Parts: sequence; structure tokens; C-alpha cells
Amino acid sequence: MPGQGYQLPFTPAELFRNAVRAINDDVQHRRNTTFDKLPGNEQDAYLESLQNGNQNLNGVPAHTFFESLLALTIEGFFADPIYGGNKDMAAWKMIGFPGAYASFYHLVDQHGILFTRAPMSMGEDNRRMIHIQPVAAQPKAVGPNPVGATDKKGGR
Amino acid sequence: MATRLKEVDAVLIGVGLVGTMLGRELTKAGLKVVGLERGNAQFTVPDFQGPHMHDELRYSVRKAFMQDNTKEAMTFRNNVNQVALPIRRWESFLPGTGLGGAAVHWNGQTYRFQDDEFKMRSHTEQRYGKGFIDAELTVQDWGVTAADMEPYYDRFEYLLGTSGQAGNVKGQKIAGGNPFEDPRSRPYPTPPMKEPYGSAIFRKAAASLGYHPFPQPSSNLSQPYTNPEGMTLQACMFCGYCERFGCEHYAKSSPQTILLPVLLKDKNFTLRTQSQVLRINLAKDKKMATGVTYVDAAGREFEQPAKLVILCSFALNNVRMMLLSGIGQPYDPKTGQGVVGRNYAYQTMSAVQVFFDESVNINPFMRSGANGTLIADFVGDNFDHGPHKFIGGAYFGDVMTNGRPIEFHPTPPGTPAWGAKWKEAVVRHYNHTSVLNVHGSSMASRNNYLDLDPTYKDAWGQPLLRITFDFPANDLRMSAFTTDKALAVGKAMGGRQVAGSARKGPYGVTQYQTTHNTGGTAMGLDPGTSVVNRYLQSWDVPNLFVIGASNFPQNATYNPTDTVGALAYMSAEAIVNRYLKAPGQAMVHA
Amino acid sequence: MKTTIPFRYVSIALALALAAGCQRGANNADATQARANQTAGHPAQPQPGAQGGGGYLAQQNAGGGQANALGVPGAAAAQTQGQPDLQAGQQLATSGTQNGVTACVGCHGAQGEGNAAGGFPRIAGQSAIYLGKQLGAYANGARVNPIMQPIAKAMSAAQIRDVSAYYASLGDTPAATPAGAAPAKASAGGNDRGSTLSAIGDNTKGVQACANCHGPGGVGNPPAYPYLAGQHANYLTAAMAEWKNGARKTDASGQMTHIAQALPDADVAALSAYFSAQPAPPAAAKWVNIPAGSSQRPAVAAAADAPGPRGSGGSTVRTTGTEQGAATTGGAQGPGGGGGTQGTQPQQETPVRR
Repeated sequence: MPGQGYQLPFTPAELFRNAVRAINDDVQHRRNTTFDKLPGNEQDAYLESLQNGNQNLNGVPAHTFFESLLALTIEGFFADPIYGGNKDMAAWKMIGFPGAYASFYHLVDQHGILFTRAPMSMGEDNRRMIHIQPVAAQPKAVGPNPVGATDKKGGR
Repeated sequence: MATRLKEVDAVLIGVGLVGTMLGRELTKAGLKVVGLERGNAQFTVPDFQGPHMHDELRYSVRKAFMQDNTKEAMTFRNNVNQVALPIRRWESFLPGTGLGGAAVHWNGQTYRFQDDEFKMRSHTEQRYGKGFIDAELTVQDWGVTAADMEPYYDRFEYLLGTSGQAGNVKGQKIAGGNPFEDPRSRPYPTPPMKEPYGSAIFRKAAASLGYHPFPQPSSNLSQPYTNPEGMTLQACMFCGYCERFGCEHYAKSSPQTILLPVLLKDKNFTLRTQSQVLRINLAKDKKMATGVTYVDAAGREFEQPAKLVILCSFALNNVRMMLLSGIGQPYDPKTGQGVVGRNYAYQTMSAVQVFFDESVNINPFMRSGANGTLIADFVGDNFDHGPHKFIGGAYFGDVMTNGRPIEFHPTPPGTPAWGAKWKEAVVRHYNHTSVLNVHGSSMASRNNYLDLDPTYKDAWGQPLLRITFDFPANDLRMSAFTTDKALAVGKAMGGRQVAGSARKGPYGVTQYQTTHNTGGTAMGLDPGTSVVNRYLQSWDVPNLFVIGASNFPQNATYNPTDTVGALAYMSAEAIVNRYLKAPGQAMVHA
Repeated sequence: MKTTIPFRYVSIALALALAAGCQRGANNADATQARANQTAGHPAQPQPGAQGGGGYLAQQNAGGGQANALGVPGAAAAQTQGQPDLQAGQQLATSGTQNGVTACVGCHGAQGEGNAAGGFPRIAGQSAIYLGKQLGAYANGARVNPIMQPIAKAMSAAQIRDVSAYYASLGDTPAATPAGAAPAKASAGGNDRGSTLSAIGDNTKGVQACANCHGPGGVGNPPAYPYLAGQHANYLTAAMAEWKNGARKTDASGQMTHIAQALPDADVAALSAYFSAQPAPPAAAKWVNIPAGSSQRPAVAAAADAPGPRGSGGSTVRTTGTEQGAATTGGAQGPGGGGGTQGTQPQQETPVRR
């Protein structure tokens, strides 16, 4: 039952890898290109088909993958920049969220005040530089997909 | 093979709020007490300090303070016709773990239950007639009244330093407070919190419709305060990282700030963290507890013998511990027999969003856990239920607590879930939206209960707790009525658009509602329908006391913590003044 | 009137309101709400002295999204308090006035760098609202200081506003010498103790980390919380003594009084040594957001191979968050049916060009 929440056997990482592999295969197969090279409106249409779809992405229902993708994107978008997203706190600046340094006792009763101090990250030092663990470049997969479309048994 | 330790006078299962309070009361009475906490030790400095504490992703989204449900979860289903499945991601409710328990990461919303809700069955039948309560509902009287509880509410609120405006002191009504509250013996220990903008707008709108807005009672603290235990708390700084987070300012009332340091100094008290209690051990005749068995972080099993056992973990875990230990007759929904796991209830929640003009800067991040303004005009039986076909009620108000953007970025209905238009809507509405919470009661039903799952086990090989719950039709009717009222106030707040909807069934565990899980070890006067007596002593095992929201026979309108604390003081007093004079004896003869 | 300094501030006489504090029920909600009702569907009334198109937001948008004050009061209050005049502020700072306002530079230095030996604080780049609040406090006795009191009392609200705004804009000169250039004498506690207290606090004394409010390394958290980094050690020590003995009552929350009373002298000395040795932060006046709701967007370099703009995005919400978890609107405080089926239709609003 949907109200019982997530029950698939995949860890979050497995869910993403399985589904993305299936999507890559699908785009390559039908459009002979990769997703990032599709024109913008076709990317949007593809995403919509995932959002509303039931197709099986290596064991992950499309709409389940889409929900996970959307949730993770929003998390990365609005989380502290130390996690690698929200670069330069662009998302926080966009909405006016002050970030990790937050004490408003002296302002909370100034109703309607426009608070314009730049946001502050957990990871910033006293020179306003944010220290982020650099993300190593992911190695690109080489060769054919080890679990091909014709493979009926095995895998997840 | 468990290592048997030396016997102590009392052992506490869980060192959260109740464990800390009971530990203090019992050691003060000269008992040697061991407190077993499954989580880690944690203190304001260094564990709750900024900026690392202000990490929405880690603490709010990934639930860093919560129970590790890869090790120990619960299973859930709506009714007995379904197969319960594990709750693999905490969403609907968030059982915490760690020294200090949920009072480390609560919001500090501190309300006393009303007298009519302590007498839910008799009061309702007296006012509305015997047929008024739906047949499926198993609501019952608690066995105590608001007047019985008043001294304990008072003592607990003065321990916390709760900030508020009294509405009724010894029968004298006071303007600005809650006119519906039962008489209290004295004002709150500290004055109300500063009122944020959205709450001020709500207050004016509610008053304009003839309601009676009052400040949300708050254990975040409006000013520095020293409690009777000599602990000093500071003023809340409105950082907007309250629920799910520890407080860096020494402001939020938590065991660490109100009592724990005093307890830890007492030579009679021994704290053991990372100690997972597996079960309460019973004598051969099963009429007395002999202590508990627990596993430490290295996987070693210990038996801690004790003359007195206090079961004071989280409500759901209290019930599970009773079932795992074979204490009391488990409830069977088919026959209606049994009491352990019976009368499980929750909270019936809905919300109303008010979208303002761009010129209205709501500043949702300038907030605290309990800093809102609400009305009690629809709480409990404060209004005539006669024309309506439900019991119970809801409070509502602008009681916003934060503007943390991962989980709070309101957009009006019809906004796409993603894309450029979504972004535009988020930018447009983030700082210009007020959300009203509608916080409603939850009735006990013969269909809703807790038992042990037949299939799924925890990391220690013990069955998980199984939750069988859906909203009774009564509560959905209550939600429809009270949400309508909230919508009307929302419309009077001067926004451009108002959106909201009542709670609809079926209940699911994928959206946060509250962590107000109650019942399963109900207190009462009749052992046929309760697990503990009015002093929270087990009917079956006289040297076992069970304390927590699991004692609630159904859940009232307000948040549970004030009542949990009051019950703890009430039970502790009974243990120290009466039980210890005749240990091992039942204090109430049914 | 030409301004050479390209920042515009709406008002900082708000500082006096901050000093007085706001009680529940007595707040700006009436004025602000009335303004909201009045402006429903229309941009807010233009500010006195505003240039460019009418409207509060338009003003923010003009001039490339440059700074408003850090913490701009509701426009109703702003209308009564007016725009800071940075040139007048500079004039006041360098020359004083006839009626008893000594030139600030005499004690606070030509660049607002203060004076280590004399214990006169560095005020360059300090938050305008904070400076204004201190001047108001000196004037009304919330902060007792025999030197500053007559000066502050002789200043008008407009002068307080202007000089505070002026000093807030200073401090970005690439000065080689941080304030307190002569290294402070090592205290018994040492810098380790200072940095520990600043970053972590002390549980035995119930003292939280200074950084919680004052920012990492004491860099400041405008508008309310001043920088401590690069401040003169003996000024910091004297300020803590004022908190401790009650000569300073400018924190209605009580936090600073508690902290100063809880810390022994050695800890205060360690903190002063630590903060004075930190580099002075850049001017608070520059430390601003693009205001919420403005059409400006932050300058974030696009990735070299980022694709171009996309289509308009997704369809309306399917059921959000069924399998994965919490709905992406709502969350901790909007449980239940937020965003639901009842309610009102949106009122027509004048589109803000984006």
C-alpha cells in the first residue's frame, strides 16, 4: 500500500544507479544520443514521462525514481553548500534564507523587516570562504552494460 | 550467557525526560538507581553547538537524532486485513534516540490537557447522551481529573521554566491568556515569548472573528530562568532550528538544561549509555519483576537485577517492552480482550496556507519551536458538539517554527512540482506565506492497536512492534469541521490566497504529522481496560511502573509532553511516599 | 544629491526601536499590515527621495540590486526615517558639529580603525544598525560611558543614522595592519582557550560558542551581532566587564550578561587575545543579499558545458511523496492537507517582471 512507504529492496544508491542505467539505455536505444544532449523541451518531456509513468527501470518503477530524483534535487538545491549543491548559496540568496548562522531574538519583533544579510554556510570561515570537500570526478563506465536488455534472469 | 550484575534499588529503561525526572526523585529518596539509555551521551556543549547543529539536511531530512531504523523499526498497516510492512524511512513520526530522549529535539510546545478530556467517556455521555460516541471508539476516562493533575503540571512547568500567559489563576480569568483553561494555581514561571509577524496577523484575524487568541505556551524560554533544581536556562534566540535539533543556547528545556547535570552528580545514580534493554525479567510466578536484561555496545549481554523497574522509554517502545517481556495480556482486536497494545492513538493534523502579497515579509526563519498564537475555541468540548456528529476537537493558529528551505517552500495549489514555474513560485512565496496548523484529537478505537509483528525482527532478533491504525471516521469528521474554521480565519488574515484541506484517510506513514503516538499501556481504574493503575503501577507486576504517553487512554487535543511530565511527577510522588513504604504491594485494589 | 558611495540605505533609526525593545502586541504589524492591504495589487508607495520608478521593489531592483540596509524595516517605518546621507555622515565623523558632537576620528581614527592603547574600538565596517543602536544606548543610558554619552546625546536621530551608515561602509582598505597590530599579550588562557570558547563553548559554565551569534572566528552576524574579529583586545575586555557589572544593558535576551558573568577573567583575556588576532572582516555594508523577491539573480558562473535554458517544466503535481517520503511542500510545519483542495482563488496581482 502506498501509505506503507518505501519497500523496494534497493538502497538509495542502487535505486539511482539501476534507474539511470535503464534511462541511459533507453535514450541511446530510441534517440541514439545521451540525455544531456537532448534539447531542453525533450528533456522535460522525458522527465514528465518518468513522473507519470510506470515503466520498469531495472526494477525501479519510473515514478518512484522520479520522486527520489526530485526529492534529492531539492535537498541538494537547498542544503548547506558543504554538501556540494547550492553553489555559492545561490538557492538561499534566491529566496532570502539566512543559512546556518541564525539568531533572530533582536529582529523577530520587527515585523515585516526585510532581512538582507547574505546567507552564511556552516562551512565558511572568517574570510567568507566555504570549505567543501571536493567531489572526485566519477569514472565513466566503459564497454557494454553488464546486465543487458536481453538478460531476463539475474540482477535486480 | 548474560553477566549478572549487582542488584540495585531501581533500574530505569530509558534516560530521556521521564527517566531523568524519575532518576532524580528516586535518588533524592536515597535509592541506588541505574539508568539504561540505548543512545549516546550528548550535551549542549559540544554536541548541540552551531553552526554544525544548523544543518537541515542532516538533522531534519536525514533524521540524525532519530532511532536507527536499519536496526530497530516498526511495521505498519491500516487494518487487520492487510499485511504490515516495515517503516523503512521515518516520516510520519520520528522516534528519537540518545541521552535526554525526545526532549532534546522537541519543539517545547507545552499544554495542559483539559478536564473534559480526562473524562472523555463520562463527560461526553453526560452532556450528549449515551449513543453519541461512535460504537467503534473505546474512549475512556483516565481515572484522574485536571484538578488532580494541577500540582504536577505546575511542578513540571516550573522545572522547565515554561513561558506563557495564564488565562485562569485560581478561578480568576486573566485577559490575554487562554480563557478555556482549567484553573492553575499560579502564573507561568516566565512571560510569553515574543510574537512573530505571522502569529500577530493570525491573532488579529482570530480576534476579529470573535475568537480568543493567546500565546502558545513555550519551553524555549522568553528570558533567563533558574529552576528549583538550581539549573539556569537562557532566553531562546529564535534561530529556527528547533524541532529535530538540539539547542545551542542553553535555552530549550531539555534534560541537559533542566536537570540531568544535577542527577549525574548524585553518587546514587549510575548512567549507562549505549545499553539496549531487551526485556524485563520476571520471577518464576511472573508476579514480580527481578530486573532487566540489556546488551551493551560491544554486544555483551548483562542482567541488571533491581527491586523496582521503571519503564520510561518512548511510548511505542514502552508497549513493545511489555509485549516482549510477556507482562499483561496482549490485546486481541478480534475478541476485544486483553489490554497491552489497546487504545493506540495518534494526532489528527491538517494545515491551511495563507499566501500574502510580496510586500509582506513573513521571515519564517525568525522562529522558535513554540512561539505562536493560537485559539482554543475548538479544543475538546469547548464548543457545543450537539449539532455535529463527532467528539474531540482541534486547536489551530500560526504556530510556525521555521523557514528551513528543503522542507518549507510553500507554493499555491496548481504550481508544477518542478521546473522554471516551480522556481518562480518558490521565490515568490517563500518569504510571504503563513501556515496555520490544525492540531486535532485522536480517539481510541477497537480497531487500532499495537502488537508484535509475526514476521519482522530487529537487529537483536526480537519481533518489531506492529502498528495497526487508521483514522476513525469520527476524527475525520472533526478534522473537516475544524479545518473549515481555520480556513475562515486564514481568509481573514489579509492574504491573496488561502489553501488548505482537512485530514483525509487512509493514514499513511509517508508524510510528517506529529510524533504524538499514545496509548498501549493505558492508565485507568479498571484492570479490564487498562494496563496500569492511576499511579502508573502495572496491575500485573507491582514493582513495575510504566510512564509515558503510552498511558493515555486516547489522545487529547493538545501536545502530550506537559501531561507526560505531570504524570511522571505524579507517579514519582506515589512511589516515594507510598510504594516504597510497602514495596511489592499493589497500591490500588481493583 | 550625489553620493559617491554607491550603497543606498533606507533607514537605521530602527536602531532606537531595537534599543527600546518591542513588547508583545505593540509592534509594527498594524502599520505593516495596513500597508500590505493598501498595496494589494500595487507596488508599495515610493520612498521619499527615491529615484527611478515608483515602488519599493523597483527601487531595490534599480542600481543593480545593491545594498539596502542590513535589515530594512517595513516601508512604513522607513518612510518616516528616510535615507541615510553618507556624505553628511562622513562630514560628522571628520569634523563633528558646533553643538557638542566631537569628531569621531579623534578617537576612532581616520579610517575608523580605533585605537588600541586608548581602548577606542574599531568601528569601520561594523553593522550600521548595531552602531546606531549603541549610540542610542549611550544617549539613553542603556550603555553607561562618560565619554560617549554627551556625544551621543548631542546627536539627532538623523545624524546617528548617517554616521552609522558611513562607518558601515568603511573598512575595505587593504590595510596591512589588522586592528590591534601589536600582538596582544598572551593571556594565561592562551589562544587555544580563546578559539575553543569561540567555536565550542564550555559546558561546565553553561557558555555556548561565541560563533553561534558572532559568526565563525567572530567575523560578525549583521545586523544585530557585531564583529569581534580584529577588534582591540582591551576594548573587548572592557566591553565584557560592562556586561558583567551591568554598565551595559543592550541585550534584552540576557545572553551576554550571563556569558560575561559565567566567564572568569582568564577566559575573557583569552577570548580578547584570540579575537584581536583575527583579521578584520570586510565591511558589513557589503555583506548583503540580493533582497528576497527582487528580480536580480546572484552571479554564479555557469558550468562550462551546462546546457541552455530548458522548457517550461513539469506538469502539475502528481501525488508527491508517496513512496519516497514527505511531500516536498509542507514538511515539519505544514503537515496534513497544506496545499489542498479548499480555499480561495488567487487575487489578480500586477505581474512583477522577472
